[in-house]
Amino acid sequence: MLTYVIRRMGLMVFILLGVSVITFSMMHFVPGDPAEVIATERYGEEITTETIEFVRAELGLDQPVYIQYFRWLTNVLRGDLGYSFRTDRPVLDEILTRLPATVQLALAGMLVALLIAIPVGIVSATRQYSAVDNISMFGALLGVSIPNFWLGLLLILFFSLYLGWLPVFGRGGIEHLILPALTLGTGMAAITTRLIRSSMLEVLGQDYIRAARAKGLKEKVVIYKHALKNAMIPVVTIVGLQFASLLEGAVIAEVIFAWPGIGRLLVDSIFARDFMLIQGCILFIAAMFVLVNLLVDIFYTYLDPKIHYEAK
Amino acid sequence: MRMNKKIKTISLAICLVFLGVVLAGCAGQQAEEAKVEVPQEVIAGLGRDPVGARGAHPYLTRVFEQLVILDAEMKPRPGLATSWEVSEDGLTWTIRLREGVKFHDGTPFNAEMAKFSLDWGTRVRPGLLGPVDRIEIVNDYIIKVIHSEPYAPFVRSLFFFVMISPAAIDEEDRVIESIGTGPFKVEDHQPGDKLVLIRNEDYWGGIPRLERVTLRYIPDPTTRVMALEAGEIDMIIDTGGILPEQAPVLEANPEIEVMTIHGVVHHHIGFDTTTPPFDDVRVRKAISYAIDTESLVRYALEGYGTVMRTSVPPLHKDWMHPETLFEFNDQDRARELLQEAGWVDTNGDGIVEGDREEFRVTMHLAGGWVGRWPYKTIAEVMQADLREVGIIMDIEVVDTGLWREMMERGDVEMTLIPIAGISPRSAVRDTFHSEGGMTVATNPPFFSHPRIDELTEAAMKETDDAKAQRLLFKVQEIVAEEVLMIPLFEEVMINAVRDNIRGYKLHPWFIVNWEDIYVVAP
Repeated sequence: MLTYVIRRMGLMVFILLGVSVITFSMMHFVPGDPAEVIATERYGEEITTETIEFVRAELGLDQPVYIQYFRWLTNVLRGDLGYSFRTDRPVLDEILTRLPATVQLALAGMLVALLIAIPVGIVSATRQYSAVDNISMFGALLGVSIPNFWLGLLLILFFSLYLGWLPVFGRGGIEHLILPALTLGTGMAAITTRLIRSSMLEVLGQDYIRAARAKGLKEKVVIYKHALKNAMIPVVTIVGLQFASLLEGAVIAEVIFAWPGIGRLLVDSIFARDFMLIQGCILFIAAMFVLVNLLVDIFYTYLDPKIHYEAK
Repeated sequence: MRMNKKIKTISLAICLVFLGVVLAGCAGQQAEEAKVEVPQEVIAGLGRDPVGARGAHPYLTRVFEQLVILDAEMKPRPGLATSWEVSEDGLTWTIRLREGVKFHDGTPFNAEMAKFSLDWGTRVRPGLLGPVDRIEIVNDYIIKVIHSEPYAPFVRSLFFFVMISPAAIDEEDRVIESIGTGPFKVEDHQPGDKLVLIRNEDYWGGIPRLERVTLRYIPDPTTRVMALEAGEIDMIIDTGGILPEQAPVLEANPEIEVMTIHGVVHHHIGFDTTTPPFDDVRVRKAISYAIDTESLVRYALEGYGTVMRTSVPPLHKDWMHPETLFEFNDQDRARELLQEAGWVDTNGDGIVEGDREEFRVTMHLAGGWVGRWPYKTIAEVMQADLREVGIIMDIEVVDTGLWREMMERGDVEMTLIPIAGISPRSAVRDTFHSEGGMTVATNPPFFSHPRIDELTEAAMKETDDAKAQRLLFKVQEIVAEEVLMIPLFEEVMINAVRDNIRGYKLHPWFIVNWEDIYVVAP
């Protein structure tokens, strides 16, 4: 197991390297003069051509792309992600100050999704084609189809403006978390519900379930102890991936609710051609993805003892 | 059985961790402000982070001050400088500084500090203060700025240079802390979220009435307005704070006061006057007659814009040509001019032809600006106007970077361009001089006109405003006569406050007069 983890971590280095090369070159092949965009972002409308040249030289943008890349890479290997072009603050600080907000929102969104998806998925599977099943599957379809931004604005309009129960925006107490978590959670709940339902249906048709029932076990025990655990394996994979993508920031929810997370940081820095911050964010997100995937793989072994990883 | 227990424990642990992290993130911020009798605190929403690479935004936060400020009519007024004068030869500016001013860290403000700040400012923003040769300290409260050649917009340029404490800057010229002299100082900054300001009890201009100001960065305009309606924020400030299409809803709300003022940006149509069909002045003139700018402002901007009749906007009232130079909305005149230029509808399809080809042009719009201003709607209104006189105009939106490259290559026939400027001299020079903008907010021009070059250069050196104004009137006349561009409208900045906020005066360059604002009982 340990060797497996070490090998996966070793692979991660190459993945991150590849990701960084791709982002770096993509950023530099976008048309337009980055020095100008950055200067405008820093100083507003009134900038002179001299200021642009100054910014270009200061940030090393006058160097060939490969030199810029290797300079960046050597600094990263020394643990220095550089300074944001736009804000002049260290990239690592920028990411770390946004991280708690992102993690908090991701966990809350996830919680909402699972609280809806698990019970509804199970009930739909055990009572296939019943009214409950039909309604919940229709709900799931609706959940997948509703765009995030629309749902978010609608929730604000209803709960904050009309009812006055919850705040419109920002991060703060638990009441601030409810609407963004609902916005994020519903879409995810819809997908997960369908997944749990079909996975449960498959498991419920297996011989060992029939055997369990034949043994005279209570239906509750059959479903929650025998079926659910096995049905969760594909669900864990998808939920893990969804969680990883939540960690890279839920851009739309973050923008609508003015939630100071990583997603908005990345979008703001893309618009400002803030190469340093873009590189830092992408690197961070890629690392998150790889790590969460690894955790999901490890989690399998707990769900299903038949799965185990050995070094060959 | 044992296995089941294990799984139970694991799931329970996961749930607890979920809850724990969620709750932990929320705690700490629960103890929000306790309400007293009309606390002098306001929360303002805006669409950007008020702290950037050079520290707190000087106009939005007023943490920093400048030697010179501009009043609402964009005229220079004393800031940390009390007076200034220029030598006979126009090279040496002598600036007298305000006494009894202290930075937030207690450092006294004097000539040494002013020189330090200007030296730093010209290092990080070279060129903006003109061709500065050196800055000299005359005594504790007088400095001299010496130029290598006359630079008339100097006083207005001082508006861009903040006075900053040396403790605020590191050895690489980075701003590590926002330490200025302004009426408010920084208490806390959460990047991407909020900036909390508290009043400066030692402010030279008297103690501000507000005790605390919180600026919240709310990127989505709809959320911003809903937060104001719900009373979670007291004001929406900054340029672009409220979009024209949002204003009518707020106007209808009795608890909210909508405020407007000239924006600093005005917009015009630019065309490539060096290649057909726009190398013919009659065609350019026909375009301006074909367009109805009044209805353009009414439809595309919900009326929140001012139609322009000359190339200098009403913002710079004294510099705007007193006469109406551009005429719009006369379609018969447009058709006549097109006919004179050889564009006639020969086959009766409603489209004019010249040399057997249809009159078809493309308007290229820069993507970044389409997101910021209703350029697409404006272009569509124009498209309909031009079709009336037999011209087909296609609209293409391209990435801003690509747009700039296309402009430089001469691949753009027609476009919409925003112009901003605190100095009418520089704005006119940057827009019409053949070398293009010294500042890049404007554009590489589509024409080269030696007389305009001469006049704008002279205005840049002419320190007497009245004389410079006459030079720029001449430029505006030439631009209109030859229709080198078509002015469209000057934008209006829209802000709003809840009805218990008093004393806010809008400023075109979005300076907030925090020191005059106060709160009354709702």
